[in-house]
Amino acid sequence: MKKLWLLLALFLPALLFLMGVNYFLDPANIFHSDGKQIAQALMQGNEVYIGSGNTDERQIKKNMISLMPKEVDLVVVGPSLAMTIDRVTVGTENMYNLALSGADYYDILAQLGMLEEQQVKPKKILFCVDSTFFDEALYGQMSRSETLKPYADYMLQVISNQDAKKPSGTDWKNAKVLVQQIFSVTYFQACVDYVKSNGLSSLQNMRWSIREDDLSENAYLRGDGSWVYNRAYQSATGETVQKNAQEYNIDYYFTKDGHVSESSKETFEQLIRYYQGQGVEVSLFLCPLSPSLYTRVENQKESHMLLWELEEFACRMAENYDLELYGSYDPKQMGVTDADYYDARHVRHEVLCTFFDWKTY
Amino acid sequence: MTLTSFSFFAFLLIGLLVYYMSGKGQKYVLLAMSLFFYFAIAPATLRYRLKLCAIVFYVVFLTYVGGLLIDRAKGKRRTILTFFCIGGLAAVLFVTKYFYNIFTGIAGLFGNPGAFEWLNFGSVIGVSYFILSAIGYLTDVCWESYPAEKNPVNIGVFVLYFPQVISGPVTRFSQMNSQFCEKTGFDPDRISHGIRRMLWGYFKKLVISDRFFLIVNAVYGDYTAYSGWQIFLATVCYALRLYTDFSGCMDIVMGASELFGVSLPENFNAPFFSATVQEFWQRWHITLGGWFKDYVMYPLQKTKGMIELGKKCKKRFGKKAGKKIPFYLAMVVLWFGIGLWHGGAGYYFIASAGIPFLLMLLGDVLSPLFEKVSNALHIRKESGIFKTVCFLRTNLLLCFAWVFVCAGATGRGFRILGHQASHLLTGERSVLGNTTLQALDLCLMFGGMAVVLFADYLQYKGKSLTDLLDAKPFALRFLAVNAEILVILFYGLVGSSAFIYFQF
Repeated sequence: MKKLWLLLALFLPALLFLMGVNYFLDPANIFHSDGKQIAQALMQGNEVYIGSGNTDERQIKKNMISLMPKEVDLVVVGPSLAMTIDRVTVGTENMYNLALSGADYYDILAQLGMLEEQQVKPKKILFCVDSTFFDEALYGQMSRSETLKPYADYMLQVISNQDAKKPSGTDWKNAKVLVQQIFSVTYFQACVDYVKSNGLSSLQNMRWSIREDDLSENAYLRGDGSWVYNRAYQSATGETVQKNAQEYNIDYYFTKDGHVSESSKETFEQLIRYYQGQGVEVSLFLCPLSPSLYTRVENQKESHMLLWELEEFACRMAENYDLELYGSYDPKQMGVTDADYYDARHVRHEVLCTFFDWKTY
Repeated sequence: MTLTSFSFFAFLLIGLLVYYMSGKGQKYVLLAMSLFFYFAIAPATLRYRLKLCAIVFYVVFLTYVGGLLIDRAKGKRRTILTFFCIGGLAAVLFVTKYFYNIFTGIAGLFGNPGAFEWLNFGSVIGVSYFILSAIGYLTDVCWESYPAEKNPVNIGVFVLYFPQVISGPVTRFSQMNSQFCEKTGFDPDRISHGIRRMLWGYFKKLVISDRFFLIVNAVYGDYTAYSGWQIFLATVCYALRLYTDFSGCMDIVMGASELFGVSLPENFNAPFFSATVQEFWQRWHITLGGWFKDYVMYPLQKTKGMIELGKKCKKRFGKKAGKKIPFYLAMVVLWFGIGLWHGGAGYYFIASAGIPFLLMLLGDVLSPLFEKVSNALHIRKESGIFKTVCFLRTNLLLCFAWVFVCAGATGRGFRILGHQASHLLTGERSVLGNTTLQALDLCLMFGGMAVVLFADYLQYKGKSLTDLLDAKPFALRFLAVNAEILVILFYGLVGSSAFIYFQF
């Protein structure tokens, strides 16, 4: 028995150390799901700093939906292009921004499915039309939406008038991944690198904290779920945007030789019909590209027709279903310059506000 | 699954629990684990796994049935049966490793390189190792070293035993069977030694080996930008990388086996402390060299033809030559076999067989001359300086062979040697200039290598670092083991490259 204790004493401390570092530092938030607490803080009207770059936005927005009032004036869905739209922009307090970084076809359907499941009825939905929803080649490669996919499937059943089965409420992450990561040397090294690059002080409130003053440089979420970029990001100039536009992977984000997916278009039309049937107003938003990026894509128009196809489709939908359409991918039409952007794609919040003419509902 | 993956540790842990709870059924657990492991490390296509399944079944079946038939047969029939069974096993090796390349090459000459695509079996993991073990078993049965095994499970475990199946060591049935058949009780000391051995392997592979690889890759990737001296340094780095990679792999394999109470034969014995090239090959990949000696070279020397040749040479060239000529001929066959085993590619053949054979031959032929010179210079062969010079000479000579492996092609190897000679001191870049290595990496590489060489020196002197540590108080052992673990955790290049000897 003594030998067994010696064996354990020899190796167990290192193993526990590895597990402890992976669990407590956890920069990718594999073991910590703070989504519920963050959502609660937001719904209480707080603004929340996000310390770790890997906080699961999807979980935050999911929990926000479960805490929303049953009737809301406006819900914004779409990718990060729409993340800065806030209550002031749209002129109502009863508004929630559910936009997510890289929100794809399944993400958006999942959020709409969750709203349906929670019986949250928005008066209006603002849909930011982007390639991540309509380009199958692009969203087929994304896997961030995987955990929420049952809600997307649920929404697909709802809009196609099938006998929709609500997803089970169980919210558990893949057990295999958890076990793998707690013993992972690679993850341990990622934790160490995180501390190395952010300093030991980053361990304090490293995941999130309520914003109580205006001193921090960090990005934060407003109470309506909209996003405020960190100060460094906000300080981008026209030159940095031009540089970013040159480096932007247009072949990936507007798939080279790709086209708007027919099934995405079909789903989108079903969504519009469904909401109109429910008395929900749908508005579309096309977020303009920065002039430098637009020129670059325009120069390769033949191989990047997707962008023009998408704009044409959005205009057609707006016309056919009598929808409000805001914006255009073409920056010239919106009268913006590179200096009006945080980067090649993201319009500055103060400029974005000018695109909408909404008043209080 | 790889030896550095999480699934391997989970596999080991679950396997250990089942193994120590299964009492007399331990060998069945080992067979089940071995089959699972073998298919888990294979690429995940069903077709490929089915192919592996067929090959593994064929090898185990032929070894088992062949052994029984050979055991029962007498006289000439026994020899013929052995010949056919060994031929049947060797055919697997040739078909899976060589036929596709050879026939595609020939068909390419006639403008139809795809004609033999059906011969492309892909790489069959570990085939070079377990086929040799199986051939060794049949040969031993033929020689009546022991009777044929009647239980097919024992043959299955022997051929496919999971720690050794992918990169050796090449084992003998007589060494292994008794260990598989005995019930192994849970022994914390043994488990502790096993884990420590595995950690030592991971330290060599992840902390040292993969860092040296960065230098080799950078320099050999664009050798024209470096001087001859720098290329030489990169070749030395390759030697250190190869050793820490292969011996590290062996440490992991042996440590894993130790956890199940099964000791595998050692494959390395401080090879860098070899005074001659011949000694080096007795200390490097010991089980492979031993196998070729026992089953190829010695039997060949004992054949009637060789004995007759020896007699004729003795008559014609004198007593000494009569002995040496058959010996050299047997060596040619031995090294040809070793070269072929390494895959048969020209550059690997030159590095693993051609150059070592020539160096040994020259060493043997010129030894009287060396003897005279050292006597004339009054060199004391027992002195430390002389031994150190011999160690350095041996390793430098072998670096010459490794240039071809690093080059990756015979022609390129010669071009690199030419470049080294013509640009001995003039290079455009620094050795580290094209790598991401920092000062800390260099400390880890050379500090780590110093520890490895210290451990090897102890082994050379007949001691062991493990025994040395075991004699120390627990606190010191704890510190040493945990320091090693922390270095691996913080600085191990996890998931960067596979083990070199997996390719065979």
